[in-house]
Amino acid sequence: MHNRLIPKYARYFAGRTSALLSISAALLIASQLYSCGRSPTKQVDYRRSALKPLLGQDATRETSTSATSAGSNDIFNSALSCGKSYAPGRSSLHLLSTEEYDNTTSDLFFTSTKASAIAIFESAPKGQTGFASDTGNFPLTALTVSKYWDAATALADELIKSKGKANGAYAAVAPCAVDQAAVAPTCSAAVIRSLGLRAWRRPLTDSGATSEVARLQAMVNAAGSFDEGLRALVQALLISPNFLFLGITSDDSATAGAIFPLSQHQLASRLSYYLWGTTPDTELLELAGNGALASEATLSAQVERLLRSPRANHISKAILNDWVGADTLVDMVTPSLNSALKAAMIRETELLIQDIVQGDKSLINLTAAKYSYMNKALADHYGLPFGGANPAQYAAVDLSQTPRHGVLSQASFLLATAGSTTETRPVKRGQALANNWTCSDVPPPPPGVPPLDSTKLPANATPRQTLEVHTNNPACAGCHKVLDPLGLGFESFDSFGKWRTTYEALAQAPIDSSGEFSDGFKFKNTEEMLSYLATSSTVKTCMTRKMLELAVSRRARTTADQCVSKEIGQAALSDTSKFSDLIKMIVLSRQFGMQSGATP
Amino acid sequence: MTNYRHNRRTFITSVGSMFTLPLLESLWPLTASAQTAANDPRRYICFYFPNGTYNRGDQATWYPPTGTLNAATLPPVLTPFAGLAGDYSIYKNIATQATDQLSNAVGQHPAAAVAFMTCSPNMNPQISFEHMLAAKVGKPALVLQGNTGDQGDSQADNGISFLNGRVVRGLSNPGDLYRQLLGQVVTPSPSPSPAPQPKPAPSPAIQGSILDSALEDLNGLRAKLGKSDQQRLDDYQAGIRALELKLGATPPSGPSSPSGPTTSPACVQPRNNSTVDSSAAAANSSLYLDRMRTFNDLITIAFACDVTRSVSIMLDVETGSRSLPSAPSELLYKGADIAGWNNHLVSHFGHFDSGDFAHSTPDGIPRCITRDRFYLSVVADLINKLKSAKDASGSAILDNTIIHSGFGIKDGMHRIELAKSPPTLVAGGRNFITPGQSFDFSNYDVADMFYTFSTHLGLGIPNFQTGNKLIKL
Repeated sequence: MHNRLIPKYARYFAGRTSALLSISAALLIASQLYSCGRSPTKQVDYRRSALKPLLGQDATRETSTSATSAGSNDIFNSALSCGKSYAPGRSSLHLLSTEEYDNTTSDLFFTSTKASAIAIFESAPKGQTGFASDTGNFPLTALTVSKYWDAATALADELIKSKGKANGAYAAVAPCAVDQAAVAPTCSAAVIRSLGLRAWRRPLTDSGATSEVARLQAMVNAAGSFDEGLRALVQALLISPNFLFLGITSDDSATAGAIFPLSQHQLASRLSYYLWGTTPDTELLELAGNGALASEATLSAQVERLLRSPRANHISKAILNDWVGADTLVDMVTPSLNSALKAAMIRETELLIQDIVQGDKSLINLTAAKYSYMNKALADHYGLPFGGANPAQYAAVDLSQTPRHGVLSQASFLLATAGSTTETRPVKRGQALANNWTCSDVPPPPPGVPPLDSTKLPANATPRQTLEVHTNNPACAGCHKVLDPLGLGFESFDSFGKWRTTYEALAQAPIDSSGEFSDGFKFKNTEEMLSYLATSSTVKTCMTRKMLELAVSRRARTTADQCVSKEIGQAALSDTSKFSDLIKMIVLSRQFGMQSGATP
Repeated sequence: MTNYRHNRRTFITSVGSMFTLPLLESLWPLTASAQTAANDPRRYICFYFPNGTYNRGDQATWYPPTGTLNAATLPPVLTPFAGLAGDYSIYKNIATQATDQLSNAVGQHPAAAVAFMTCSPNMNPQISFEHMLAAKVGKPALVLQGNTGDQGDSQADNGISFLNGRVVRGLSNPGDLYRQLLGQVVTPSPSPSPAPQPKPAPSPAIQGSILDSALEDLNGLRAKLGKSDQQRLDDYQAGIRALELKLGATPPSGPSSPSGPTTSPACVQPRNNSTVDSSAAAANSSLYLDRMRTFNDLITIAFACDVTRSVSIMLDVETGSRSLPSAPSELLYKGADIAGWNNHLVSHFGHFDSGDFAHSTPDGIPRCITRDRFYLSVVADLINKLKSAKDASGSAILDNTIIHSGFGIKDGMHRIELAKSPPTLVAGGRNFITPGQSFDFSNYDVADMFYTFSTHLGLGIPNFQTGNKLIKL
């Protein structure tokens, strides 16, 4: 089937190449002109100057576009053969993650202050998708709301304190109030509209009994002075559910069976939080305000623009920490591993991911890359030659003569999933592979599992012999027949990712890393397993599904999700495709641009 | 035409004033000593011990003879706490019907935690007991935990506290509790070192407008959401309500000024313990006792200031892998220390790969007793602190507080046929129950115990899950 599809996508991209190139080139040049060689402070200045058009924006125009939907939802009916009418799925109300909160408030108030650190936000558990931005499991308690209040108060205080400073945040947020003894109502209304637009990621309602602008203006007026009013405004905007939650709503959103397109502003938010982890910038807001974002060409151009920005490091970090799981190494107690080498392990994976995202290479390189980036210490750890000039610096290392492929053969992944630093626990690695790389959805172990009866094991039992006790038990076999062969396939790597052929602690017993995938593919050893993972369509589908889940902050487990993931995976995860191809296709899917109604 | 539209806050304030002003004078005490214990607030604390213990009917490890507790006949676990024997009671043979039912479906570890304060036979209970009390009295419950919460096998394993059908994770850093609930609520008392000047707070009216604005936004959003999202907003709304109380609770001046009817002399400015105020400290096993004792200090002040009336503390998670620190020497039973062991392994008497004692390490049972003493020492620390702190009536805060502690799992080795119930210790509450007893509650379920607690705490509920029998405690 995908033989038919590839030409279709080739046509899709070819047909837009010239337009995309010209828009992208213009944006690239513009962004480089602005950012090249600038200090972080100067970049803040750039953002502030870019904000100016919004500050004077006509309120009527904002209001008139507030309810504009993506309208031409034909673009989200896409070229996929999965159908044009399937339910796109429903993302729940998305509470901003800690990183998103900090990024957003930093952009809103032109500050490097991390509000979460001041208010000491609780560490948030990752959601069902495994990504930190999936906050579905984060409990919203009285204490949490109290911390949001403290953060809002601290940010408001900082804003007021910047009054009088040249190029300060106050001047950017409330330019009409600077040097004014008495602030005119038109000025405070303009501040409410512009700050409200950026904080709530949509224009505030500005007419009728439910006018948000009027309500906030009354509050500002009652505060006694404009500055106190501004303080209250910041607190009100930031404690509001319109700020804390990214909600995909419409008049139909509580109607079961309804399908509706995201509004222009919802689309801008979803795109911005996906790729940058923050609120939409001026350009996205302007496009949304003009009703011009929801077109194939514009969305594609915006994907290109956002991915070229250093801020797209957000998506690299999500892959590194929440997908590969490298962040678990940071707090892992590893007495036998020096901290510099552990850092190098994480850095190796980070550099490969950055190479894919920022170098715009195919995401399949995550499992397929026959190269890596190491310093000498890490190369020595692996027993590989290091060709760099400076031992402390990271240099590309060719892996073509080794069994290693991509992150699944990197120490960060292998240590994070080893289960122990003294002996490997194949079930853990098998579970990581099944859940995150083949999307086999093996459930977690049931609670209260009785321990293995070690009395039935021979002396010096190998992990394979130990696990046979599981697979021979009918109650355990269902899952372990899937997990154990996958995990045992990694047995040629010790806990720290070094290659081995025998178990040193088990009287040099030889390692048998053969196994079988649930699709029937049999492998004789680790090398064959890794080669399969580098080309497998199952892995491509799964990787696409992970990226889709990151985009829509929900598990992508419906039949339609599976179909879309498979098609996009086949088309956009070839050796020669680009990372941006994948993202564009996800952004143009119905899952991204539309939403199913909820059960009221 | 005149617009007579009033907002919610104006309405509540007006109605509140209308009904309460005539009563205000009669409620205000002529002097502090005129306050009676009946007017003191009543509170509830739960300490959860994870993973079960050595609890065999034929070995009196936990249970003293039925009747009044006697220091001379205390079992090994309780021996170090002989000095407090008049302050607590031991309950044995009380049924745990919901836990048993849930265990059959999901296993003992998660069932024990989930059902402990909910008596719910399903994995997503709506609300646990401490939050019921919190809702009744309009003050937030404190949810605390002894570890960082990331070392259990699953989220469900980690939770005893539930609100709106979701598990509530506890704070593990006492500094968070200090900053969020106490540092701002209690006005600083004179201090030898100059304290930083607090920023002028916005007027209550403006703060009220801000929160009203948030609630208005919430209502606008709610109509467009499905059921599950609305539940999320319910959580948020409850948080805003609690924030209203917090912001409105700021006393006008320090403790020496005229105080309300329930202000305790023990309501003083707490001190933050910087040694344990970090996530690193929360993950540092050797600081465990310091953290828990700091929590106890802060709970005592929170009660005295009437910031909260309900607290739950999970001393460790079910099936967690955190290493225990060394126990104080006076708590060691037969010299067996717990340093470096995780409590789950201790519950299995030193060896997971066994179905019974045959494979336990020789000092497995003594180590389990040491661990139980170690956890009980945290409870004892709070008992002592609440005993010293007085309510406005002069009564010890302990006497107005039910401290409920114990295990969710009956037996550490999961041999539930050998143990009728998990050990339960209830302390305090002398103004309405009679501590200092060893009770045999064979005819009751733990749901009846919560129902009985609810009557003493004024919840006004007709039953607690299946429990509707009043127990004479």
